[in-house]
Amino acid sequence: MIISIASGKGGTGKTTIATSLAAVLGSRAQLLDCDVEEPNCHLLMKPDLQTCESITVPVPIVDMDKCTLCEKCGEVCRFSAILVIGEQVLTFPELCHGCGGCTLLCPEKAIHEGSRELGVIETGLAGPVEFVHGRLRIGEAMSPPLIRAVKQKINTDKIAILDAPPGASCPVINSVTGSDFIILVTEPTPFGLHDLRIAVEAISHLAIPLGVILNRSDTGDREVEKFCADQGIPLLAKIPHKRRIAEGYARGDLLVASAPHYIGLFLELVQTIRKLTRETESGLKEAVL
Amino acid sequence: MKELVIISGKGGTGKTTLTASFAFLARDKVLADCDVDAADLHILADPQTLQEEDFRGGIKARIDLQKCSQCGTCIEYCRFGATSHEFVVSPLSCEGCGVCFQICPQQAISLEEGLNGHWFISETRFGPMVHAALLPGQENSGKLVALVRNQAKVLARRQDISLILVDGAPGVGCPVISSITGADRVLIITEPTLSGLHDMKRAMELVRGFKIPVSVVINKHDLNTDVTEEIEAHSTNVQADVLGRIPYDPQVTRSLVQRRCVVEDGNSPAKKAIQEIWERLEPDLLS
Amino acid sequence: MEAENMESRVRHALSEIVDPETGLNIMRMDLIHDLTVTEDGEVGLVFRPSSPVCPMAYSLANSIKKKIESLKDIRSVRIAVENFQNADRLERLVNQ
Repeated sequence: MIISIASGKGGTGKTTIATSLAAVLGSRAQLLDCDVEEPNCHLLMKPDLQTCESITVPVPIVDMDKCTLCEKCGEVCRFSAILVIGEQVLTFPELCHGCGGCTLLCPEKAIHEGSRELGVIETGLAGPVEFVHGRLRIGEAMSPPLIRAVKQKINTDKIAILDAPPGASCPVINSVTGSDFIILVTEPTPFGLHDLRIAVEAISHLAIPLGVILNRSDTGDREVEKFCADQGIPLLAKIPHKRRIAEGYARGDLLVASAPHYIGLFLELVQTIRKLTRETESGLKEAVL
Repeated sequence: MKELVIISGKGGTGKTTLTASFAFLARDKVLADCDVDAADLHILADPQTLQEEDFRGGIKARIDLQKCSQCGTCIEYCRFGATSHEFVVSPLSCEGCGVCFQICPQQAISLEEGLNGHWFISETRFGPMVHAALLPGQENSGKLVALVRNQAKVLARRQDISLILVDGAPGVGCPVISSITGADRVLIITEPTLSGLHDMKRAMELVRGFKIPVSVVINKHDLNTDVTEEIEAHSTNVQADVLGRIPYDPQVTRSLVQRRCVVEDGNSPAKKAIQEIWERLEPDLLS
Repeated sequence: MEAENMESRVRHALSEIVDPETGLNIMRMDLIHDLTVTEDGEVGLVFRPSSPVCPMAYSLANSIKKKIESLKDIRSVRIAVENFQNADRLERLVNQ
């Protein structure tokens, strides 16, 4: 089973939830940190990292001896990454998507491919929990290709917990696609509600069952709860704000370490998710029949 | 004209709250909300839309099944696995590179521009604002951010306004890069948690790579004094100036629920801290 | 009169150049300044890319040059680049 933890708004507690869920499941779990721009799971899980793999994308290198300045490459490129200007061919590797178009279509076969590093993927063990994360190279603009590379490490024998990046756009969709369930974490404020709506709408196209965890639930207002009730979105848990827990998180302690009475909540969470996933599957089957 | 961009690295550290507070305290400014994925500044700024336009930033391939001979060349050459064996292009996976369009022997493939979002020029209770909203699930390639920033500059020039305040996005990827290139100053607002410190360092590296002056503010500093000091030490080491610390203050949330900034009412600890920070920042921005 | 007519044709042509990043035309983006067109069809302008490090500046400068050169009665184009990290290099390349 694959469970993704996402949110519209940043800083609502995705990593807090993802890491405690994985820690409670122990050897049954694999934790994959897909927030490759700012991966944080390792700070709480403290994994013993065993592998480090560089993930690259191919970029064009032009052999000026063969080049006739025909400008086919510039015409073909949709990202302005290769261009004939004056008597020169300029390439902008940082804009290149690695589609191979210029290399393929150069009439003189004057282009071969070098590479640009997107970032790295590291794997290891955090106690009994399998751990994977991606870290984007600073200055690299595109996170989705690295996120997809992290997801290729999903171990289907485990309950895979994916910590997604904040937001509701392409990087998030790349992270949560293919999940069996999505937990959206939010806070009871106007920002939290507004961004939750956006996230729900983004994810609704994927037809993946979802539920909400309300963090710092005793602050703010009741609008998020009302929204969930109106939309028929299960409110999986409400976690009140506790200074002690916030201070623990600041130090790098897991939620279930600062507040062990939450261990039961996370075990129940998995059961609830299994039930909701089965209900959706049978619902879909009925709809098809 | 000076442009201040507020980013965080880690999400949820208070970018929008701080940007709105500065917007309240500054005299003449143009606001730009560059968190186009999950734009929140309007919740505090209360905009009246003057102008709304479509944003079409991306191209997707589409196969005309009537013309398609199912030769499979497109599948063979697509580096993104975007075309299924039923010859349907997945909009999520398609990067709009156009290779399939170029090589299809039947010329059965067309490239289509879709609607990715909308952008707006509005009048708010803090002054003019340029903002945008990506349609949910769309590519956030930084293009819409570049558009918002450009139009904020055009507006500022036209109205002879000398300050642009930019609310940036979380992370260090494309939208953040588009938010900061060419800015006069970047302010990183962070929190004294291990995550906040880690993410701030990455954001700092990004900003310094572009050789932009950077300032740091630590929000909820009283959560952890040790990490606060680590953040300040790191900032000093990399020649970033620490503008100040804001204490954890439940008034921030109480004001937010009323759609107000904490600096608008009363005399809370957070309000005082933000005012002091603005007083330190303002001379540099108005020179 | 002739120069005015040519200038308005050049402006119109420039407004047809779209920045692939934003989808807006470069006149709307305020990227072109100090446009001069002489009666002899010599065009001069200042190009200020939207950011000092924007790599698209090269492609746009190239498009500007080609577009203006393609107009009837235009003899030469000279593009000055400002507010750009490699302004000298881009100027050299585009004015070749």
